[in-house]
Amino acid sequence: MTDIIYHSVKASNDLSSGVGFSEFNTIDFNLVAAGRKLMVNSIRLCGQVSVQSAGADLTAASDVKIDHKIGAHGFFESFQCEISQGPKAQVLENLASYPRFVSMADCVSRNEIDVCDASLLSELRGATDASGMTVIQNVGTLSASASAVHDALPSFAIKPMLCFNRMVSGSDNYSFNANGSIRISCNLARSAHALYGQGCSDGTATYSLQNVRLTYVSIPDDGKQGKMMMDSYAFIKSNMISTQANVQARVPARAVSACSISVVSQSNETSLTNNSYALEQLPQLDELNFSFQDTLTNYITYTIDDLQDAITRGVKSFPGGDALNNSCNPNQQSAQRGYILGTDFDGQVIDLSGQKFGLNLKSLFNNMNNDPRLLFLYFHNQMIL
Amino acid sequence: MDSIVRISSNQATNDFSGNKNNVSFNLDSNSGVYDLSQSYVAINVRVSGNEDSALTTTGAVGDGSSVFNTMFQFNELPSAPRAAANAFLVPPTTAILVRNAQMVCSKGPVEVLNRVDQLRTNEYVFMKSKQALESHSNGIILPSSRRRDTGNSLQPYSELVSVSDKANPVASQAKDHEIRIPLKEIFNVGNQKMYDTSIYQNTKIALRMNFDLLSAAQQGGVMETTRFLGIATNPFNGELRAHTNDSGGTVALSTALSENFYNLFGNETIPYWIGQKITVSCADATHAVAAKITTITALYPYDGVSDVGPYEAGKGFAVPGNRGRIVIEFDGVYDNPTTGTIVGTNADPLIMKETLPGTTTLTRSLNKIELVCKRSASGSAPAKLDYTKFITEEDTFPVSANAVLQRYYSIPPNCDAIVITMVKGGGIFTAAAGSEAVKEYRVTINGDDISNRPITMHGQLHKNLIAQSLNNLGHQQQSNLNEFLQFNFSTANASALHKANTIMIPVPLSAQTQQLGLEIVPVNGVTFGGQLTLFKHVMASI
Amino acid sequence: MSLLKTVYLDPELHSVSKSEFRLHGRAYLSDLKILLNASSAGNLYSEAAGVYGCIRHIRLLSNGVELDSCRFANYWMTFKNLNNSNKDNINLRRKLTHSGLGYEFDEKMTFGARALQGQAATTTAESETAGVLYLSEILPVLNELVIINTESVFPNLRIVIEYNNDDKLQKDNLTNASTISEPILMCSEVLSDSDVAASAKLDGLQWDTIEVDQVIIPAVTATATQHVIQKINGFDNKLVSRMLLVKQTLPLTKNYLTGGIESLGYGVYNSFVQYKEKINFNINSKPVFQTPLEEQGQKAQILHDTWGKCNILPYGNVSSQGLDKQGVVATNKVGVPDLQPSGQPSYKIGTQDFVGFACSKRVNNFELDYSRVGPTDAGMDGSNTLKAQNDSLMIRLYAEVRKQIEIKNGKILVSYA
Repeated sequence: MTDIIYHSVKASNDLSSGVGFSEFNTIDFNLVAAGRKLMVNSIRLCGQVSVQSAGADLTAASDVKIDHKIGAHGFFESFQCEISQGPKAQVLENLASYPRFVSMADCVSRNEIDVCDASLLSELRGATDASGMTVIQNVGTLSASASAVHDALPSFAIKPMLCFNRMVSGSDNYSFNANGSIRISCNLARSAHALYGQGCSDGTATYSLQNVRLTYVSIPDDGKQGKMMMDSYAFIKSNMISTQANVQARVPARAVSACSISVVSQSNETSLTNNSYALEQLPQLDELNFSFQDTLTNYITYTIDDLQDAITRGVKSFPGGDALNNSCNPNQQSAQRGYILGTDFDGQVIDLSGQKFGLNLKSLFNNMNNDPRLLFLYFHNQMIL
Repeated sequence: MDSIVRISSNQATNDFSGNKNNVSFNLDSNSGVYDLSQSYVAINVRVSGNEDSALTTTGAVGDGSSVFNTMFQFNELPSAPRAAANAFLVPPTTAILVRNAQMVCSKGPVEVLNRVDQLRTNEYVFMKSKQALESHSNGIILPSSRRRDTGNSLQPYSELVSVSDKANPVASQAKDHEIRIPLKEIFNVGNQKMYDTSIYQNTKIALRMNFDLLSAAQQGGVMETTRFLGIATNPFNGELRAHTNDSGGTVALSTALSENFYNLFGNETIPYWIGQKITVSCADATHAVAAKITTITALYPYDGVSDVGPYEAGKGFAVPGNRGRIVIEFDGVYDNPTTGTIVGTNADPLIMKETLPGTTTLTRSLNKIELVCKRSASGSAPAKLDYTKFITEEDTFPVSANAVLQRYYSIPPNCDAIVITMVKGGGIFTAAAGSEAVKEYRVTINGDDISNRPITMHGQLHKNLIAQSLNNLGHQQQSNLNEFLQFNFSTANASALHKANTIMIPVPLSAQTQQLGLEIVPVNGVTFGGQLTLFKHVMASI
Repeated sequence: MSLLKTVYLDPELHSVSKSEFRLHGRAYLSDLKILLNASSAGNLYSEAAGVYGCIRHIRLLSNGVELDSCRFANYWMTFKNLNNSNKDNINLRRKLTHSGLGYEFDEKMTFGARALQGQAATTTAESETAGVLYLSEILPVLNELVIINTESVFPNLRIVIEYNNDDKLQKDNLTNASTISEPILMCSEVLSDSDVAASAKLDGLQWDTIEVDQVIIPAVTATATQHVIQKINGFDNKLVSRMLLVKQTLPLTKNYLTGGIESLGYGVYNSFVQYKEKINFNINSKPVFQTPLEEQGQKAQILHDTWGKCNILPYGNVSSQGLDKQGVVATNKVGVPDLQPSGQPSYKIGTQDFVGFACSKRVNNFELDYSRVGPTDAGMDGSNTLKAQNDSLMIRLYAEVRKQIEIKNGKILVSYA
């Protein structure tokens, strides 16, 4: 039986209490525990969120919400993980456009009812758009009507999709002695991205995260450091401004196993009222092709022209993607969500740092030039420490 | 890296109309090593509807501007005594489209299975959860993943757009759709990861399909509008206002549907789509709107500044603000209401009803059928394949009042499970006469009773036998609800759930032939009889 | 292993308060199951406990020596019902437990358990309405054995079940009394001589059993802060792995709607969120958490990290669904638990607040450090009877405790590791 310790770390740049962190702020955490090992997949980010409109607390009528599929993950635009000091000091990953990645991960592996689970509810996730509004309202007591008071901020505890939280089964725990201390930094998302709804149209909807701390679990260091295999991703953004797009990406990743793609219209990405993280349809998809060089022949030898074939391959491209449990069905697609394209690499990992990955898209939507689409390409990368 | 290849069927003309149900594929000699577990039959289909509904004012007849939420319906029997209601059951596997299947190679038959549809449907009802069927976009019928009032759901035979940019709306369109039947859901040998055509040479896969049981269909009923009907204490909150149409002469009317009793929250709850044909009417004597047929041209979130009027006190909006409000714009030509410009007050329900094509105008086309395989150019596959297969035995018994069925059957060597279906002659779901009222049964193997008491049908001992049998079949059970999902499920018709009428028996493995004794007792007073099919699961190798 | 025979055994003793099974064969697989049934015309089993609400205590004995047991098993099994994914509870477990866990959306877009099976007036343990108890969930020693040798290692093996005769613990509605039918034990008897011989070589094993201790927290008056540090002796000198804290409102009758017939929320199995609650545990004079747990988000995440998936209703572990109040028609109408017929929020809000954590050490001294504030409360159900955040609490602490069995000279010695 291993003697475990629960650690809690405040931000190294913690603001005075009551103020909280808000859009564009950076929060840094330093993890160090001499003589101990960080238990795999145990890092959590906890805190409370205060959302206001025009400087006042939300009311029942406020149409201000967060993306219900990702909950509190939507407040974090990006993460950086590094071994800051020690024998193996290095930058491990830079996770840009992070909330969209989390949304894709959710769509490919969860049905709407899967949200009835303690870990997802603690992240302020919900089953429908409306949930994204309810979860950010102040919390009240169980008293009936007149005596009930709503004086508590909603709290969250997310499991950020960092490499330290995506360690592959069989990986050893991380030794602070052998490797060094860890720094995790996050940049908070702009309010216009984290929040949406008609109540945001005046641009006064804001949020702040309070009492933010990072928790993790450690066990005694046994003096050995086995291999640690972690999943991560590299990100590239492109666009489609006509009925055809040919994206040639050179990806800074050496062990890529798949590529997943999602879409949003350019106008919605900057919209105050529409969900910037929505996984929108690529309108009237006609053809889809992937190309890349490896030592063997191409994987998919035909042009994908069936929409559900493309979606199914998109689901399969994501680690954890489940063809028998996801939210990528026509009901969701018609509502501009649950639309993911992509391809896995047949179980192989490929070094894309020195060669191009090609994506060829054709659409029948003639108005693309008036309403261009942004393409978000996530390359699933594996790291070994 | 392996390749994903598409192999055309041998039926060059791809004509699968009428009763043309035979499909076959060849895996050529020395063409590589196939991963059968990742291979599937791909059926490219299209279901479309032609507009022949009489249109009184708006739109031209058959103008082709509309897109319908068409679907396929699977009719387990071509004619009576087909139970019509069973056409709404969601098949738990697309293998229901395969009636008989054969796989033959140079070394002889690999696997021959009759009544694939009956076996796999009744087997996979325990293998697929409700949520799995909702997620399965390559299926035949998708059940409601969103519980709309009538339980309707969007099917994959069209690309429907429920919300889009106001200035640049994306049109919905009918599309080809690919139904996938994984090989491993047809053949047990389909679980093999390395099938080497240098060892087994030319391999033919021949399927007798059930295309004649697949018919184009539509979802009927008043779709979703009950959400917007005024009912006693929960009024409809729509507002119809006139506004100027640049084309002059006619007036384009749009309506903003505010939240109602159910709260229209979430784009996925929008029951409409761009290109949908609808009929709009209002029966109020004062603000009557004669029924008109029109097509939705745009759907977008209310942005607070559009042409639609804002909330006004006393005008019927029961909740504050514009939460969840969408704007629907119709096809351009429409009549004004007879008096005033406001309709949809508390007492005036505005009815928007989906208008469907007549059934005679629904058409289905099966465009092509291919075998999509994962193939490696080379690889060291085992020289011998060990797998399992089913041996089928059918039995019919006379129908007589209060009959207790008592029969003996042979169990072949190396058999570890038997699946017994009791369905109406030739059917898949529908129970054989009286068998839906099986009270209990007893089973002996070589004269030994497998239980010291009768097994109550659908009871816990019965379920335990199913769990043990599924384990022997190499499956991980995902559901013991023991019911077929209805695609139009709602709490209102929950009691009409259709149970799988299957007995499964785990058999102790033996190298000798054994004898199965089966005694089935119906509920008192029920006449029992019909057809019974035994699928015996045995070890095989080639 | 090729020679197995499925056997259905009747109890050798059965009464309204107790049943006893005896296994007379040579060896059995450890996947023993009991079919359990309580008949009550039209009533549902407890939505939280399901059929397991019938079980008070259960014991496994050999030659009179208690190998393993679970006391107040209905409460423990309530958590085991919860300790699954939503999907599994819907598709697999509900037909086994007959609980109301496993939540689906309906056309109103609210969450609730659908198609719950009511009990009929006369049913048996073979009926569809009977439940199935996997003994390994309630007697964890069975997880360490593949084959139980009852010929030489564990002779005279007995399973003794004591029942709850208080319908409050069994059912959601107290309209009609229930009758517990004679249960059935399903087991697989091992007939292979070689397997029986191999299983006879067992000389010992270790496992984590479930033990429980409890403490009563008195009621707190409105606006007052209550802070209690309570010593818990039940785990002294034991190797403790994981722990779970569950709260129950006292007296039990408080968990019923006016009239005392229908459960409020999950009835006696409610574990209410408390107001401004702070919890910590001092183990061997060190606090487990650097600062007491007070945020519901963090509590839920640690619960999941410790015990795995926990099937909780949205807003089941917070005290309100947003700005909605008990006793007032809800504004938040979708994505929430089924509203009451009046349109008010569900009584299940805030009833699923559990605390779990990994202890992972030998406990010599254990203290519960607990505080809460009493809100001004007008009674949750409008009748001033239930003040869920002021009333007295029974706090139960469950722990996985390491035990061992040694077989020496034909004698069974059970002790703490």
